[in-house]
Amino acid sequence: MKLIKIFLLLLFCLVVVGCWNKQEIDEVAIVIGVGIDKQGDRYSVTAQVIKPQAEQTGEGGLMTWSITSSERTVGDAINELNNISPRRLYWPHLQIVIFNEAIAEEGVGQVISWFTRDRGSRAGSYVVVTRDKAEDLLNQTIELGEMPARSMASFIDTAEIRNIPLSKLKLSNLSSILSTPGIDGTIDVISLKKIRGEIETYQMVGTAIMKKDQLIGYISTDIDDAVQMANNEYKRGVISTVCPNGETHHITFRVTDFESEKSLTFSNEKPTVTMNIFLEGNIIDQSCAIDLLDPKNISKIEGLIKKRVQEMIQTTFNETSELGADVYGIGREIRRKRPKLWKEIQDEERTYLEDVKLEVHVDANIRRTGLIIDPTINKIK
Amino acid sequence: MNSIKISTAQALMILITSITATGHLLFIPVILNHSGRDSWISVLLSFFALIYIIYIITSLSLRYQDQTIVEYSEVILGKPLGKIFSVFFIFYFFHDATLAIRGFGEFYTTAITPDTPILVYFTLMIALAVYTVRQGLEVLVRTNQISLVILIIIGIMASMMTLPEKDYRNLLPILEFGMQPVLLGAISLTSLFSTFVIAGMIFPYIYDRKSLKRYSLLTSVILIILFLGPITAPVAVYGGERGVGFLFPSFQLLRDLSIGDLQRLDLLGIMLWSIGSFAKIALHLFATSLGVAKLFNLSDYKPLIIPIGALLIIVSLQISENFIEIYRFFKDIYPYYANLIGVLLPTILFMFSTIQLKTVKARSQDV
Repeated sequence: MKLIKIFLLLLFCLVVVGCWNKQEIDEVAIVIGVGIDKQGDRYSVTAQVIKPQAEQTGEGGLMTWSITSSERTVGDAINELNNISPRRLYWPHLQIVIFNEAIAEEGVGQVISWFTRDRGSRAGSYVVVTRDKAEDLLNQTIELGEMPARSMASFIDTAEIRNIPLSKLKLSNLSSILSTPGIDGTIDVISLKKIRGEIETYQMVGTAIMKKDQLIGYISTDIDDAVQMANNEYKRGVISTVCPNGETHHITFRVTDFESEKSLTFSNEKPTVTMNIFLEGNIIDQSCAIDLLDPKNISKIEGLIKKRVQEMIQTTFNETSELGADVYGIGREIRRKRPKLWKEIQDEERTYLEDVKLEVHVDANIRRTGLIIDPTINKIK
Repeated sequence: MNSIKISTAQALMILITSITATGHLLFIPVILNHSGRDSWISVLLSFFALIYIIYIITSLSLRYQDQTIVEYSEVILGKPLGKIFSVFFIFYFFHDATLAIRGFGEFYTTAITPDTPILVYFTLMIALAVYTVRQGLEVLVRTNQISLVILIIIGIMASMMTLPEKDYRNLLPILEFGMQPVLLGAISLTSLFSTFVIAGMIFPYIYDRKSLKRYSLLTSVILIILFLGPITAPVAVYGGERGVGFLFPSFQLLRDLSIGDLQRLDLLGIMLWSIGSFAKIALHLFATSLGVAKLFNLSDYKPLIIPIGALLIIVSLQISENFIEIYRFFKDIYPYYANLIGVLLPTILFMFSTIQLKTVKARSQDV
C-alpha cells in the first residue's frame, strides 16, 4: 500500500512539474525597442530584437536586428512580425516605444491599447516621439552604442546624471495622464543628429505638448525644463543667465536641489496658481569678471536666476495654454479643490486656462562655486 | 466528528485569509468600478455592516455552542424551514467556492500562463484542497496559521514598495459624484463580508470560546485595514480614472513596479493569491461537505469530500462563459444574492432565536 502511495506521488510529480509552454532563451527573440509609424491608413510597427553574441556581424555593426510590418492595428502588425521572425518575439524586456509625429498627432490613445493589454509587455517602457521615421531611428548605426533602443533608453535613464531634465514618460504614466482630466502630458522628442554631415547619434530636441492624446505642438529646448520645474519633477539641470554687469556675458548655474509647490487660490471664481520654488546649486561657469566675494554680487546673480526661472515657467505656460494644453495640471488642482467649479468649466469652449493667473515665487541660493573663489578672468587686467 | 479541536485564533485566521484572498483578487476591481476614488469611504462604511455580521454569527454560535449553522437553524425554525435555510447556506458555500476556483484559474490563465488549460489549475487546487480537508480541519487551520503570517508580511512589503509611486492627493476631490456610488461600493463589499457566515460551520469546533466575541470584533478591524491599503493603491498610483478598469489592479501595480533593478514583482502577488485562494477553497469545501453531512444526518462528512470536490471542478467550468461575465455577476447580482444569504438569513435566525430564548425564559419563570 505504502509502495503504491509513493509510486502515485512520483507519478504526480511527473505530471505537475512539466512546462506547458517553455520559453528557452535561444528560441525567443528579445524585443528591446519598438517604433510605430504611419503608412497610409496602416500602422507600421518596427520591433528591434537583440542578436545573440555568436551571430554578431563583427566590428561596427549593430548588435540588433529590426523587422517591420504594416497592418491595420498594432496588435495585428505585431502578430505579423512573428510571421517574419525566425524566432518568436519575446516582449517583457521592452525598453522604449517610439511614436512617429504623425501617429502622435492623430492620437496615441489608439495605439497603446496593445501595450497595456498584453501580459508580456512592460508598462515601465519609455515613450518618446520623433519627427523622423521611427523605423530609421531604430535602424541607425550610431557611435558608442550597438543597440539603438537600449542606447536611447539608457539616455533617458541617465538624464539626471547628465543634468538634462526630461519628461521621462513611461507607458503606465502615459495611460494615467491620458485618462485624468485637467492635465495634459508632455513627451520627450528624440531625433537623429548629424555630426559632420553624417548621422552619428541621437539628440533630445525639446518637448512635445499633448492635448488629450494628440500632439499639438512643441516647446523649444531652451525653456522646456519649465514643465518639470512646475510639476516638481525637476531634479538636476543647468540654468544659464546673463551676467549682472553686462548683457554679453553669461553665468552658468547648476541646480543640485530643487523643490516646487503649487497652491491654488480663488478670487471671484478666477483661479490663481502660486508656485513656490526653492532651488540651490553651484556656479559652474562664468564668462564675465565679477567678484563673487562680494555678497551683493551673489544676491544679484541669485536674482537673475530667479528671473530666468520665472520667465521660463511663464513663457511655457503662455505657449501651452495658447494651444489649450494644461501641462501644469492646473485643471486637476481646480478639480481637487473645487469639484463643482470644475464641473462647470471643464467642457467650456473657452478654455479655463485663460482665466488662470500664475504667480511664481523663486528662492534661488548659490551654495558653492567650484574649486575657485576668484576665477582667472578677474585677474586679467 | 466532534473530536476536532481548534483555537479561536486559528478559526479567525482562516476566515481572514478566506475573505481577503478572493476579496483582493476579485472584489477590489468591482468596488473600484462602483465608487472609484471614494472606495476607501465604501470600505469604512462597510465596517459597520461587517461588525453587524460578525456580531450575529458569533452570538448565534455562542448560543448553540456545539452546533453548526446548519444544525441550529433547524433548532430555531423547526425541521422543514430549517432544512430550507440550510440548503441555502450550503449552496452559498458551494457557489462561493466555485467562484473562488474560477477566479483563481482565470487569474492564472489571463495574467500568467495563457496557454495552459484552466482545468489544470482547477484540478490541482481541488486535489490539494481535498487532501487537506480529508486530513481534517485542524490541518487546514494550522497550515493557514503559518501561511497567513507570510501573506501579511508579503502584503506589507508590497505596499511599502509601491509607496514611492503613490500620490495620495489623487484621492481628492472626495465625494465628487455624491454618496450613491459610495453606497453601491459599500453594499458590494458587504456582500463579500457576508462570507463570514461560514464561521457558523467552524466556530462549534473551537475549544476556547471565552473571548470569541472580542477577538471576532478585532478581526473586523484587521479585515478593514487589509482592504484599505489595496483599495486606495490603484487610485494613488494611476489616478482616479485609470485606476479603475483593470481586471486585477493589485497585480497590475506589482507588475509595473520597479525599484532600481528590482522589477516585475508580480510573483509576490501570484504567491499571495494562490495561497489565499487555497485557504478559501479548502475552507468552503470543508463547510459544504460538513453541511451536507449534517443536513442528511450522516455520521461522517469525509466520504463526501471527493465527490463534492469533483463537482466543484465541473461547476466552476460551467458557471459562466467568460471572466467578464463573472465580473458582471459580482458587480450587479452578487451583492443582493450574497447579502440575502449572508446577512438576511442569519438575521432572521437571530431574531427567532432571541424570541425563543425569551419565551423559554418567561415560561420557566412562570412555572
